[in-house]
Amino acid sequence: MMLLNKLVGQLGIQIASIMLAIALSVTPYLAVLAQESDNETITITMTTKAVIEIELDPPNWETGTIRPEEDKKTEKDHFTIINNGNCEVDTYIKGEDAVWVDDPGTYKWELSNDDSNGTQKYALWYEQANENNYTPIKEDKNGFGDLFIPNLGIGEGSSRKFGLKLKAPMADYAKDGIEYFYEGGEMETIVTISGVIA
Amino acid sequence: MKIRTISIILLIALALIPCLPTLADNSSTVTITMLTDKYIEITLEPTEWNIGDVDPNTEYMTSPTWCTVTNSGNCAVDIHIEGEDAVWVDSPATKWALSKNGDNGQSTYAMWYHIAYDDADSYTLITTSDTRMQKENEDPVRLIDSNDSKQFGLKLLTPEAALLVDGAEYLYGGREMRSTVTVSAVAD
Repeated sequence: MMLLNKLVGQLGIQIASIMLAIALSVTPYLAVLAQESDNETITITMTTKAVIEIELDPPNWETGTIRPEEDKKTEKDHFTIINNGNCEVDTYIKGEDAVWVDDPGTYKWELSNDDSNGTQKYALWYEQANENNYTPIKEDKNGFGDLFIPNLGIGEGSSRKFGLKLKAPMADYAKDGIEYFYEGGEMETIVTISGVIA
Repeated sequence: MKIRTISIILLIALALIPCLPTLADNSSTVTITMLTDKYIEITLEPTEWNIGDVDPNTEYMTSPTWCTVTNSGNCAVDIHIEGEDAVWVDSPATKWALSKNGDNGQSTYAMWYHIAYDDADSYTLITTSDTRMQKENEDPVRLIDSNDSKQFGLKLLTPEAALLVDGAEYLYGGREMRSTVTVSAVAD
């Protein structure tokens, strides 16, 4: 019985020794395991080529004869703006003075900046097809103008419809009770819509 | 009594057995092994590849010696490489997946590495899995000593076109895409 107890005791010591030996042999590796690799990265950047192309259909609006202070307007879905490029774009709109085609330097109508017309001052608005209010179009000689349609998408569903309204200036003079402008003939103005990558 | 005598003789014999080899030779050895701390560090130069404007379905590549990986640590390391999806910087949810087989597709791009002075057209695919770098038909790249280095280049194939504009194929335009290639040093 004593011999058995002695053997069990020795066995216990041996097991404890083996466990200690394993623990000691693992210890040096822990520091190594904590840092077994190092990473460095390469950052790759590239920009997809941008094609910005806005199409307006139709590109013209012939109002026909216009009299002093007369309003002219298209249907609200008369014009379609289409994004034919490969980028989502914000669109901007601006107008300019109207000029007498026969001699642009001698007679023009200034584009109003406050919705009101006046002598040789006309006003211009747009209305989007899905809205019921007119927004004035203003002049912006050095910029793109005011935000028109933001985030015009790409591909199908990338078009929007809108209409224009114009109010002619007050008369320059009257003769026999009839009001006239100084110059008879064709007046011309341009509305510019620009696309800028959104 | 006889049994006790035999037992005592047996015990003495057993006790002597471990001593016999020692008695037979007068030399022995002790083998000591020690581990020094490993310091693992690599450097990459350069760490940026700005490709510029890209067209769809087009390959772009650096020179084969464009990037140098150098062992800056104190132990031998194996060099691994791993890529990832490219993301649109303005909207990272929009991605180009990194090809698993070298084929591109709509919104899938592919990338390869070429170790300098390997066979001219030997490019190895980079995937999202961590892989040991190696030349064609050679052992994996191993930088043994400090300052050992290896040069490599990258090649990238852009995704197929997403749009057709006036008969020309385009990706969605004006998007800055960014990707990262991770080069790792792994010690034994």
